[in-house]
Amino acid sequence: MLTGTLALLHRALRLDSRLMTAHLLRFLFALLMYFSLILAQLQSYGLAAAPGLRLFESMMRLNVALIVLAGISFFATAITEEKEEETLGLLKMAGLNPLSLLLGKSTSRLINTLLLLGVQFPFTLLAVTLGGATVTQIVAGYAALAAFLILTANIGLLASVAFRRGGTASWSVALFFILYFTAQPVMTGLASSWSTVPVGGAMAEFLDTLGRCSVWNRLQEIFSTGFAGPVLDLQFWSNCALALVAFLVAWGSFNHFTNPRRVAAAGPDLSVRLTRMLGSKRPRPQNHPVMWKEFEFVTGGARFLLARFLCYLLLMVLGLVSGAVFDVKGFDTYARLISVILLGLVIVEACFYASRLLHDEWREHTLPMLLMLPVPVHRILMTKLAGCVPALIPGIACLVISLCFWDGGFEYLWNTLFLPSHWMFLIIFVLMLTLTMFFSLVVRWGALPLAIAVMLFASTFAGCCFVPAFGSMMGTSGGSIVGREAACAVIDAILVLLILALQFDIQRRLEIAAAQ
Amino acid sequence: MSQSGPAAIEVVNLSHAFGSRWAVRNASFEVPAGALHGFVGPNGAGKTTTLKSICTLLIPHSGTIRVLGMDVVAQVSEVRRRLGFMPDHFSMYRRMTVFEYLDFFAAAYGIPMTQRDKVIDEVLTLTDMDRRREELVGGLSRGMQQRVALSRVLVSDPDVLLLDEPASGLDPRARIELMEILRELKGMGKTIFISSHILSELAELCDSVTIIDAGRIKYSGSISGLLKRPTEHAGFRVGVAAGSPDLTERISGLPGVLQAVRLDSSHEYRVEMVARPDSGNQLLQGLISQGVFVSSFGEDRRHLNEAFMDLTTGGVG
Repeated sequence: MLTGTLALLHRALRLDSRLMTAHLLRFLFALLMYFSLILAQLQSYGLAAAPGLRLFESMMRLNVALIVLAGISFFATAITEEKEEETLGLLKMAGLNPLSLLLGKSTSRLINTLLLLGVQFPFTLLAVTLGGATVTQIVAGYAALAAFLILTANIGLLASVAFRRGGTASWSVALFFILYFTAQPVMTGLASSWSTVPVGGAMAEFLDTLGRCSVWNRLQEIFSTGFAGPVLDLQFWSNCALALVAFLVAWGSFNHFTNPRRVAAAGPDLSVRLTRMLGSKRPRPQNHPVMWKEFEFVTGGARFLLARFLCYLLLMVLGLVSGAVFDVKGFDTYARLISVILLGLVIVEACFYASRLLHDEWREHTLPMLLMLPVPVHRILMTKLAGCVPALIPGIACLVISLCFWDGGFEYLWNTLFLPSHWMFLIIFVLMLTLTMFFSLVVRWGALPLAIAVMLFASTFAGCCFVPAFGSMMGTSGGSIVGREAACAVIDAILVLLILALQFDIQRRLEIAAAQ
Repeated sequence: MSQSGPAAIEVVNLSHAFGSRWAVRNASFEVPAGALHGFVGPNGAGKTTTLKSICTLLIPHSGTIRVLGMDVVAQVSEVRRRLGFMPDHFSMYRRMTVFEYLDFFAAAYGIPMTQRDKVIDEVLTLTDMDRRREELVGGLSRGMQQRVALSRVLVSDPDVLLLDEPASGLDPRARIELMEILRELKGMGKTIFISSHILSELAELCDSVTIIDAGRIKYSGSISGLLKRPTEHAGFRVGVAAGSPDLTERISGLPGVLQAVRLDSSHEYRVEMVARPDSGNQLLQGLISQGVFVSSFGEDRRHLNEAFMDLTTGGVG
């Protein structure tokens, strides 16, 4: 067993050492650390209290974000990539048993990521010198992160065993994270919303325990001044235990899920089966066939559009009715909450389409056929984008309706049309979608997490250095709205230029990919 | 190299490099209109690079390519309308049904809705896929998928078809059926440019062939020209009755014969003669007059594989 595991581990490490993307990611990570250190140094010159603790906090939060991204992309594809390349059968024929395969495929990835955490540790100790953080806090913080990483790796492994495609596995891991981070606050919120008296007894105890299992809450506890709790807390043990359970389930179900007969009998994927279930045929392509293809096959077509519209409407109505009936927190709070949820869902939906738009063509080698159509590449790209836009209408429509229920929501919406500072959100959103499309042609998997990581880094950098400096140059420090809006308009223009440059490069890469 | 009739494809001094490695160097050849032309070479010889340059997916570093008289770099859209390309890998929209797949491409090539049904029906009948029109492309066998890919190419009714290794991965039956379809298409007046690394596969099918090796064109012309031995003399193969004694000396003594060689202790001889229009006639008469029982007689041609091996080294450009 050990020989097989070591062989796989060896192969994975060799492959990793040859991959330029992996080295670029590490470089990006080093830049982030360096940037955090510079910020802490700058803060130590000023009046900010405990710059060491701020450095420690920012490093920990950044690590949580990166572990989540790694879980969605890196760990969720450990076994699915072998399934997609149809090499799993060959590995099995080479005498590798499920345990060897699981250890061999996941261990290298876990080691790589744990090493990234380990490498930071000495640098983070600088936080003690800068002041505000203790060694116990730092050790406890890294222990919490390590447990969370082990949990993430094993949940990703389980998803990659259970699902046939990397995309599905990634989305299921993302769903797990949503539950992991929101279950306790949402349940607490709901319990307190529907009851006028404070929640107590077994329910309160359960919610408290659930909250203590979250790495986020654990880090908040560690960040508190004068932290003297144990280094290994309930979060550490519960995350490790859950990771073990996930690993055992992955091991136990490995043969079931990777059985060639099961894979062969699986038939078409979920969207095709759902379309067939819903009955009648798809409409035929008319004047814009590429748009038709994207609308029908990437977004699911008119029936899925209607289904999504009903879901969004239901969510909005339920939220608003809850606000009107229970009225514990006030109707406006519910309207704002629903708007934020809808906005989040629209963003997720748009990101999903952006990550699939070109990647599916690239993965299925259909780019040569598509680019051989007697239409210029930029028009193909535009019609592909246009095909996905109708799919966002239900979400956007419901979002606009929910905004109108805010106190002053309609006014805010109206201002969005005229103020450059309000456009910025939309432009940043488009930039992220463009970046996702760009990465979907560059990396085999994880375009969306990579785009999010780059956007996080870029927005942190811009927020800390570029925007304040630029703002002071434009005279916004005195509180002038005109100056601020002028600064925002210039930044918007720069972002639009960046989007155009990316679009141009996407076209170039499409042509290269089609010719390869 | 030049052939009769206007050229459907004209490649002049084509060169393309990937980094420092030349995939194709100064390649020149012509494919006459209405011909079924084979493009043969070992793996990595530059076939796919040449094909992709012809079909406008790759802009060559130097040289010119004309398809039906149109420049592939300057008149991209026009060339794409008149040309159908089938890549070597199975690139398909696997979640569409066969009909949806063809309907999509028909619409993309601007065929009006009123004509699309008729066009798709005709294409599906030609490729014998009419009973599979409602099946998902992803659920079809490899051979069936190849037929669908060919149907996709035909749906826009192109004048020139470029097929990159169309028979790779197909079982013998599917191969034979594919070749039948290609013959039918040739009968319909299409120019077919088909690449393969198996010469024998194309020999029966093609009128002409271009052989590429290490990025350079080694031969371009008719199949019969390829099979001729590169010698000034006339060569013949003579088969004699089984059990005959060694006739090498008797044949060598015949008028006009330069050399006679018995082939591997068999009852067959290769005879080299002074090249004259009637040298075959003269040899046959001489043999009969000597009382030799001739069981077979013919021009000595190279075997296809022999010709291929002589021309290629298997190296890459």
